[in-house]
Amino acid sequence: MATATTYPERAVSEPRGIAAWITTVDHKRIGIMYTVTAFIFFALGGILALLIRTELAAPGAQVMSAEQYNRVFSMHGTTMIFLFVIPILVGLGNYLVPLQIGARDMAFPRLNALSYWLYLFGGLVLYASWLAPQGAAGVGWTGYPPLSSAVYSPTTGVDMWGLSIIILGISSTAGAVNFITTILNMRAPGMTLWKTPLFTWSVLVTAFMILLATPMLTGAIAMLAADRNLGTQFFAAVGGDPLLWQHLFWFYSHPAVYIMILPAMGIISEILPVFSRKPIFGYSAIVWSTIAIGVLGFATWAHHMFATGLSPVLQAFFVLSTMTIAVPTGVKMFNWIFTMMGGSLKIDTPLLYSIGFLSMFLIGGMSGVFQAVLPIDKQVTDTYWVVAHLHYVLFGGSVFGIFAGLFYWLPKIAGWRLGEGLGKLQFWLQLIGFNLTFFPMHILGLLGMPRRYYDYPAERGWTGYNFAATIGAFLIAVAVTIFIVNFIRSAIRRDPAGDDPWEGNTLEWATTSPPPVYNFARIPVVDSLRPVRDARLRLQSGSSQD
Amino acid sequence: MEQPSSEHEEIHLPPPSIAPIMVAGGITFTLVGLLNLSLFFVGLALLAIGVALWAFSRG
Repeated sequence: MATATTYPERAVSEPRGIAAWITTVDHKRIGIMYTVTAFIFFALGGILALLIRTELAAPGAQVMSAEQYNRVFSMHGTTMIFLFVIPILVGLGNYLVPLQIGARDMAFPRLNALSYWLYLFGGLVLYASWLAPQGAAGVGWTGYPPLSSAVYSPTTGVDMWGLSIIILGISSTAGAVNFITTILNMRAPGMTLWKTPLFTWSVLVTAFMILLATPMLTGAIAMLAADRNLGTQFFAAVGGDPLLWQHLFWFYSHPAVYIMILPAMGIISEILPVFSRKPIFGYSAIVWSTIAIGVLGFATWAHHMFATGLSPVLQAFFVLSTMTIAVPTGVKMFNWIFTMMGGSLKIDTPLLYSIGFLSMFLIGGMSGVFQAVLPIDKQVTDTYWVVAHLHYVLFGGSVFGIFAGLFYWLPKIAGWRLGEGLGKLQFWLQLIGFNLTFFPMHILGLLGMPRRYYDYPAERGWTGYNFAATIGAFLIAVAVTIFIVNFIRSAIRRDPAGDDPWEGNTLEWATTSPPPVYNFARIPVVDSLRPVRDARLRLQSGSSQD
Repeated sequence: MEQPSSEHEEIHLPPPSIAPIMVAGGITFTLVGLLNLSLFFVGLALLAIGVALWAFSRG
């Protein structure tokens, strides 16, 4: 637990420069390292996406061979899921959860540092696989056998892909234990679970999901590695069962969708009330919906396998469970909309990104419900419809939520604000580019274009939609470049943000920007759901009486 | 938010440590060492040193 040396003693012996970052166990520094590393992997994954879109811009080979294309889209998917979306949300959680609950650090600071380093090294192992004799894994981020077996993918790149995911899994599991212990045991006096901020709630439920789901993926990859290297036949077509992999893989990877979306929902739940100047509508309904999504998320995995010949009873169960999970998600949607209704909206970049999240995630959620309908799913399985759906959920949802969070909390983390003008320009370019890229993919899917193919015939009528998607992808790249320019420009200008630039509700706004190493000089005592707002109002009414 | 107590509050935080990065490096090299035996032994050595540093560090 975070109780060892007194602060003044620590300050004397604290290393400086790069050694300070390598040896740090401070949750804020670790959160920053997670966020920066994840953003670098986002840039790498984005470059891979641009290669994919350049290849598909027109029929015929453009910039790479089919084998290289397989490696590029496999690394793109693995990077975006395991090295960007999940870790950047862990990074924001690391920075903010102790501040939001009024703690000085995470429960296990050294375990927290271990989680970060395992994440970085896992990512480096994945990218080192490009140097493997027969190249990186080209088996998709799903790694389905028999394609991922030693017969069809003899490269050690697949083994390194598996090892990197095992290392990332150890990192995630250690992080989940840390978050659960911190949130359950280290909340400030007076902060009951029903006074805990919604972002922290979302991290708590996500941590339980990681803890329960990740061992399944780790075990599956260990079995795959045994098949590839020790001659076992867990997933062999004869003597084993390739479908077993799909069950094990999706038992992790469908909850992983919620692992990626719940913290983004938590971010939105913090931003909307602040920028609407209203309390969140239905706090307890949002909490229960978060828990319901966390539980139901474990009962929907086989909807990824409708085309594999599941028994009718199983198909009916997974259709029902998939439709059911839309209910708590819909409850949240209504809560967010009612939070904004009648509010005094402050249209700054965090709110724009939050509204972007709501609208894009709504489209992704609706296309997901379409896919829950068995006859539709069988038509669109493995087509570009699925690519459109997952990107509306994970980019339109998670990534818009992540940018909302970065614009909202960067003033707290850095002490200065990102430029609003460039922020709004980035948002609109990103929104337009995103829809130009991914909306046509719905049509391509309905027209029958399969996913993961590196080429298509000119006479199928797919060229225009693909070209539009490629233009859109480059627009997204311009938007992200604007973010980087905005960041550098704002870091140079350093316009002071103040401790509470948005007039926030939660405890992170009660300390300085950036916070001191010990977070709070005295641990605050909490008596409401919006402690900082209530304290601010009391102060204002006190000074007006004076 | 109520006013916190004005009594003196001692702040306890753990000191910086090299052990986490060493343990992480040890785990990584040990696992990657399953594909290359020389890395396996480097990983085990790093892991042992990292765990020892972790176990015997104060706080």
